[in-house]
Order: sequence, then C-alpha cells, then structure tokens
Amino acid sequence: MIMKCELCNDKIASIVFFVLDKEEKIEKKLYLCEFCANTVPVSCLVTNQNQKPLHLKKFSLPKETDKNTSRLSCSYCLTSAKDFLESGLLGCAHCYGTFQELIRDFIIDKQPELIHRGKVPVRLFRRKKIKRDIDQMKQTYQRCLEEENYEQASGVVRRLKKLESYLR
Amino acid sequence: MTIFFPKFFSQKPGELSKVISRISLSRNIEGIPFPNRATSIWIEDLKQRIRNLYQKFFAPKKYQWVQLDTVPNNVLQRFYYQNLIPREVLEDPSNRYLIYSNYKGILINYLDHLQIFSVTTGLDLNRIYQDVNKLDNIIEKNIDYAFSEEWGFLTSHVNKVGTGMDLSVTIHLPALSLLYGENRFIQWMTDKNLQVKNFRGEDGVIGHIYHFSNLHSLGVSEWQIISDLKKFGCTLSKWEKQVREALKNNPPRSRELEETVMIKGRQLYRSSHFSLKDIFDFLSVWALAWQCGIFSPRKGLKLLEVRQILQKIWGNDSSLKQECLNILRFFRVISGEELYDV
Repeated sequence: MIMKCELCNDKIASIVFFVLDKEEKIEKKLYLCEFCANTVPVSCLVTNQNQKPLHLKKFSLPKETDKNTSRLSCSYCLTSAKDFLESGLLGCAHCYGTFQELIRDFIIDKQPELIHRGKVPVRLFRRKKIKRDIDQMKQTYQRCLEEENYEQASGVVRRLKKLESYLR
Repeated sequence: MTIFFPKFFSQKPGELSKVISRISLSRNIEGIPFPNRATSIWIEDLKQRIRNLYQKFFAPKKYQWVQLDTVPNNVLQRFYYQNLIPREVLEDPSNRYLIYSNYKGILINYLDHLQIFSVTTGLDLNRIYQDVNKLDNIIEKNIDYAFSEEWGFLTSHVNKVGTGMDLSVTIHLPALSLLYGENRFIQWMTDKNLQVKNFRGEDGVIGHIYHFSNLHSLGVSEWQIISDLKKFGCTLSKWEKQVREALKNNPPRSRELEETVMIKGRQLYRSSHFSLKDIFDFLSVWALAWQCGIFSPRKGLKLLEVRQILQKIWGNDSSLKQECLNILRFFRVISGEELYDV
C-alpha cells in the first residue's frame, strides 16, 4: 500500500517515525517522505496533549521567505510575520491585508480556490449585487458601441452612473 | 456499583453506535482584535456587546448566559461531554462565555470572537446548519462582522477563512477499521480532503472513533460542504453495516473477533501499564462484538469481568472513569443522557 507523506501530503512516504510515550510504547507513527524527514526538526514532530496539534506545528517548519516579508508586522494589532509563522494565528482583520502574500502561500494547496464562494453578510450582499450589475452594464455598453447603437449606449451610461452612485 | 451495574447492556443487540454531528461558524467582530491578541479592555467590550445582544434577542428565547470561569468543574465537564465546548475551553475557561439553549448556542472568545454551533445525533446536517444560520443572521443584523469580499469571513486561523465553517461528524467504525486497518483508513479519508482526528481532538484514532471534518472552507459554499460530508457519512454508515453483517454471518470471523475481545480484555486486566488507546480499543471491539450479537455477556468475557477490568483501569481516577462512561454511552452500551433532536 502506498502512503503519502503526512507533512507535505504530496510525496510518497518512505520513512516511518515512531513517537514513544513514557512507557516506551508506541504513541503514534508518522509516515514521512525522505525530504521532510531530513528537513523537519524532530521537535516539530513530537506533540503531546498540551502542545499544539501537528497541523499548527507545520507553520513553524523552515520556509524560504524573503527578508522583507519576515520583517512585516500588522500596524493595528502588532502581530509580526514571525508570530504568524510560528503559531499560524492572525491577530486581527487587518493582518489579512498585511500578510496577504504569506497567507496565499499557506493556503494555496489547502483550499480549492482562493476566492470566497459562501454566504455574504446582508449589508455586503447588496453591494456585491450592484457591482455585478455594473459589470453586466459595462459589457452591454461595449456591445452597443460595437453595434454602433449609440442611443442605447447613452441610456446604459446613465444607468451605470446611477448604479455607481449607490456604491459611494 | 449496584447502581452502575444494571445500566449496562441497556441496548438491544444489532444497533449501531451513535453518530454525532457538530457544526460551527467562526465569526469575528469588525474593529476588535482576535482573541489571541485582544487585551482585557477589548474582551470587556466584546462581552458587553454580546451581552446586550443576548438580553435583547436571546434571553426572551430562553437561552442561558454562562460565564464559564465561574461555573463548577462538573458543569464544565457536562458541557464538554455534550459537545458544547471543546477540550481547550474545559482546561482554560477564563474570559470565555457561553450562550446556549439545548444543543445550540454561541461560544464567546475562544479561537474567534464567536463560535456559533449546533450539535445533533445522526446526520441531519441541513437542520443544524439552519439552526446556526438563524443565530448568525440575528447577530449579523446588529453587529458588523470582519468580512472581506475576497477572503470571506475573517478568522484567526487561516485554515478556516471563507465560510468559517467547521462541520464535524464523529462516528464509530470498528468493523471497517478491523477490515482495512486504521492507518489505511485515515489515509483514505485524508485523500478525500477531510481532516481526521480522534474524539479528543488529537491526531490518531482511539477506540475506532473517527472525528472527521471539512478541510476546505474557502472556494466552497456552506451547502456544498454539508452535502459532501452528509454523503460521505451516509456511505460510511452503510459500509460499516455491510461489514458487520458479513462478520456476523461468517462463523470463523465471528470466532476470531470473540477471541480478540477476550485476549485484549485479559491483557488489559493483567497489564500494569496501558494507554487510553488500549482501553478504548478494547471497549470498541467489545461493543462491536456485543452489538453484532456475536458476543453475548453470558458467554466468554462475562459482564462481571468487564466491570472488574474497568474498575481496575480507572481506580481512583475520576476523569478516566468519566471518559470511559462517556465512551460507553457513545457506543450505546450503557444508557445515559441522549442528545435529543431540537
């Protein structure tokens, strides 16, 4: 049976890492690929009840980040990139803007898409709908210009301006 | 013990263990740092805002407000065993609050400002989502959430950003585990984009109880997550039933299982060192054999012996006793407080 590496979840596992408890009984087994087994510090693999689970520990794995990124910190809650990399936790809503690139790197393999497709708060739902209508209007406007239907185009422009005023 | 004794074998053989489904929506309030960065002033502000909301909308609907660090430990444990609070909150309840009514409610100031949850037995995920969605809509009308059009609902942990939804199903699958092996089964679930834990929220399965939850929260809708998990849970239940049927109708296999139970039980009784996994794996195969009708209490490892084993295991450790009783309740081997449908 082929097992995937439990850390990178990508390469085929070829090494089994045994974690023993105090009585030297096997507490758990970790199936790792050769790359992860060589690069991940042992302390990151050993977890107990009081420590963070393995998926959080993954954030503390050595990662190639450029110097500018690692110096970043959120001006609102003072969370630094180092804090985020170590704990996997963000401090406030503004962190999402500050660490945008880092967050993308983290979740790009874990989520099917990097755009929200779920529920939207009512106050934003209307705004989203208006934006969608504006996009549609712009397409209609382009089509009118291509068809040289200037009378209809002017009507579309009027409606576009009205919709844009709702967003201000 | 005389009270405990008749409670055993309250169930008719042939029934499966409980399936527990829990749904939670993580929400943060705009302008307030997330709980891991919030100072006491922010926490007080959060508490006041939610308390006002509670008095206006939830108190008339008979919801309870509980300050978790002021309630006795046995009440906290009850909340934990009812799946209302996670283990981390049981261990550290300071500055945490709970609004609840039956098996739905809002946990305040845990990983995110609000965790709106609902729990049920069975796989009626649509209904519990409707429950949490109603609560979510009430709050959303009065408080602005931290939300971005690109990222969705902003959560302190990036893995939950988007819908902020954590949908988990806890299911007992001893027959499938014995057939395929736990590790192989976990790998298969992981390949299906599910996060697999044990019921204590740790890695690795104990007592053949799988606690699987959605890994994806961004780029998928709430209904898609629900439909996928429901389909998956139903399939697993069906397969477990089929394997149990096959086990029951195959005498050599049945004998093998009976022997496994007896060997495990005796090992546990004689051994001076045992892990939680050893105990729960034994209880799991014992429950399986009994539920399948293979292993009657009058035959082989008798009820009295199981009682002795359990008594020896928990000794004076009341929390271990509570955990064992809770697992036996989950297996429906002993009667106890049942989750009821709201």
